[in-house]
Amino acid sequence: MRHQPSLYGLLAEFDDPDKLVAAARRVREVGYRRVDAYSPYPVEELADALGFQQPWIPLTVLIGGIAGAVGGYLLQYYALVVDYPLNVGGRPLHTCSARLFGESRRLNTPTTSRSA
Amino acid sequence: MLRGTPRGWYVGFGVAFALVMLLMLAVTYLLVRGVGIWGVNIPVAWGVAIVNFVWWIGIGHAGTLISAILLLLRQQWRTSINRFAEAMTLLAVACAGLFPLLHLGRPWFFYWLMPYPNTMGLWPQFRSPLVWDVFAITTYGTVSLLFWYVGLIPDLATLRDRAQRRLAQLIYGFLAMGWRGSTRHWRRYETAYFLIAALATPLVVSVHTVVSFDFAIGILPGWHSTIFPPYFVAGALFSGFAGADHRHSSPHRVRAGRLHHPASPGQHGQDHARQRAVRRLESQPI
Repeated sequence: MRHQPSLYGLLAEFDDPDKLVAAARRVREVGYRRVDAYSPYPVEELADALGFQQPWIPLTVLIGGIAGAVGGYLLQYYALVVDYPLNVGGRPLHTCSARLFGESRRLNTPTTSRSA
Repeated sequence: MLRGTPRGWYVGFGVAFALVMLLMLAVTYLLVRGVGIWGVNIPVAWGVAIVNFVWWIGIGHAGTLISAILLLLRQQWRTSINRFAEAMTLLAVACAGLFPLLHLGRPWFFYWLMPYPNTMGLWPQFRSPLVWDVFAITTYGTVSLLFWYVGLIPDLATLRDRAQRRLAQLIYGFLAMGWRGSTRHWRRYETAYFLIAALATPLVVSVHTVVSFDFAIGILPGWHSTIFPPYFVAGALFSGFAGADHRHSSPHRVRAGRLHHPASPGQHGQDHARQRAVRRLESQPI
């Protein structure tokens, strides 16, 4: 008994990126959604023609950046204020500007931290 | 395009190799005798090392700037130089990293500069420019590596598809992260690449500012100068552009040309006529 496989999908090949974009646009207009296109180099309009968005990449970068900044600050706070407070001439332990901008370094003793 | 390695390349490589061996000897002598052989002492704690460090970091910065800023400005011709520039950056950062380590006096304890919970109960001194250096270099190295690698992914897929040997197929296949050239891949790739470029560009300024703090934060006459941060960044760009130009015109180009085959899909902005020419090339046996 011969089994006739059901139609899985359709594949078309184009010899010009403009034709590919036009086809992608048309396919989407007709209402197809589970579509993808392949190209050996980036074709600018193709992703838009297929209605493909990628909002989570910038969001991931933003969250990673904020987490890194907050984590770095907390690490320094823990090291310099909580776990190993070092009294250098009575100067404050939590020196926000010194560690963020390197500004008030010249208030500290000049030679002690210049390790050789 | 795919010609063999010329004899002159081996000559140049031989000279460079001999010089690297000389460096190894010098480093060994340094480790045995200490940084006193450089004639440095307190209050000038590092001389030749900081000069080399600044020089190499500056070379690297121009590579990042060339590549990242041209991408952000959507200059299509960057594809002809960006791989050289990024590779130059990576190697320059590696060379730069040597010198702060060597000047430590006891370089085998370099890891004391990293903040990690240790049995000594100690933390690095975050108010020291030496610790800023560590974070500046590691951050810069990481971002440069990511920038280079993300840009390389479509080319790695091309290498995977053309690899003949099993091991090469496995390695390139692993590094290509399943790249198939889908529109979704390209969209994600371009978003990520653009964002890394946007992060790398201000990093150039901040890293070399920290490098200049090695001088400027000390209150030693001649070392303390508030003009140093912008002066260092500007100087880095000049020396680094010269470095990228030199790399571009060196015999290295022949070897890099294999990675840089114009058929590789990572090359943006080729006009369609060129693509057709490339396709004709591809249809011929290699």
